[in-house]
Amino acid sequence: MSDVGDEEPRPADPPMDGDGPWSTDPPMDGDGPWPTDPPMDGDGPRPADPPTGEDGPWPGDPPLDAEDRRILDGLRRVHASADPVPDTLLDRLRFVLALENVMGEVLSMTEEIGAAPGARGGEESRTITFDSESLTIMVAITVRDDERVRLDGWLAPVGDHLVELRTSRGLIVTRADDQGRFTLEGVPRGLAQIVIRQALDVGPRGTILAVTPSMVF
Amino acid sequence: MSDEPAPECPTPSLTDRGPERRDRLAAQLRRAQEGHGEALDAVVADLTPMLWHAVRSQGLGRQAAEDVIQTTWLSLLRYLHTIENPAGLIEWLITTARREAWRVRAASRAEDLADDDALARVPDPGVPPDDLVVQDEQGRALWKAVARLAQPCRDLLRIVAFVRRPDYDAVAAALGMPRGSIGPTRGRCLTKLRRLLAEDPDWSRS
Repeated sequence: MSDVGDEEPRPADPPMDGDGPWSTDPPMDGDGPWPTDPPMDGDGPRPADPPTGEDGPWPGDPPLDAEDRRILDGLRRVHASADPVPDTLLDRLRFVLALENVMGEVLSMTEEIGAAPGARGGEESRTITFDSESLTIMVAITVRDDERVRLDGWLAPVGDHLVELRTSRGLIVTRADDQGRFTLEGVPRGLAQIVIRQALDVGPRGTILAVTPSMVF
Repeated sequence: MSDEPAPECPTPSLTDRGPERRDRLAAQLRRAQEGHGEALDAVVADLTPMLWHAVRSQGLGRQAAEDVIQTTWLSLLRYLHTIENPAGLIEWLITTARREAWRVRAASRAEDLADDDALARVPDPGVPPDDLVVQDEQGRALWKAVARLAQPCRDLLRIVAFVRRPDYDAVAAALGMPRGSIGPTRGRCLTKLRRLLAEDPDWSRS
């Protein structure tokens, strides 16, 4: 088990800021079992899945006639067309989810400064910050050439951290120094994900302490 | 697995064959919990469009929405074994994604990046009807009518369009709405939308 424990920090609930459709409804129950706690054993209000299909009677749910269905199908079509799910998103998800058990924290990308991914240019560099309640990682990415980038990273707080960069062409591993700094040279461009592990001097790979979403170099 | 139906189905009709698709999702969820990566990929492909529209209607830019959705699915890896059924999964995903979206927006705001793409408020519908790449007159008519709805109805119909009826209560719980309230609210919003559409010859001509 991770030493992070079960009390994953819970960000504040979004405020009901009055422009939502349900501002008069009860706010989300902050003490509820979701999303970080395991569900309660059978005593919760979680109904079994209704056995009926889409066309069955749904209590309190007005029946859908052919016109309603036509509208709902049309809505799905126009939304999918006006704001499509990015083609790359499913690829990125497949990439980041191909990990063994992730019992560590998931870092959020909270800041990105510099040139957009994919831009070309001799002096291109950018900085990305990832955060969780207990760990912060900053990486500065410098483009070397059309195929390679260099990563200069810093993570805090300092600890025995192994930094693994998963790339489309394999794993690049280094150890953060006693000031939390690390450098990775010759990183192939494309998708990449940082995995922080406990650094062990001997034996198997340490457990995963934290992972980031994917970046595109 | 070769005996599984192909997961790729970008915009499946949710009103047709709903029970079959839902049973398939339940089976894929179980297999994902047993550690089958391809089953997890299928679940991800199935539910990401719903999640995308739930996050985007919160006003996140496209790049930020991608990051939030990645973070949400990654977080799920840790809790996957606690999820009981597709409804539980949907409630967990939307709840987590909305919190993460809120967190990212708050962090961006704190960094005073108000003009950054991550914060760019994209109104819904953000694309003017005339610029919309909707293929046909009916699509345009529908888009114009949606633009005249009040924001709460727009937001609700946008999510509901990607959700199966058996999962309405899961979505309601994630959105902080009372269970059982999505059906009637959807009914009221659809009634308004139908009234608007009835005035548009481009819609009724079919």
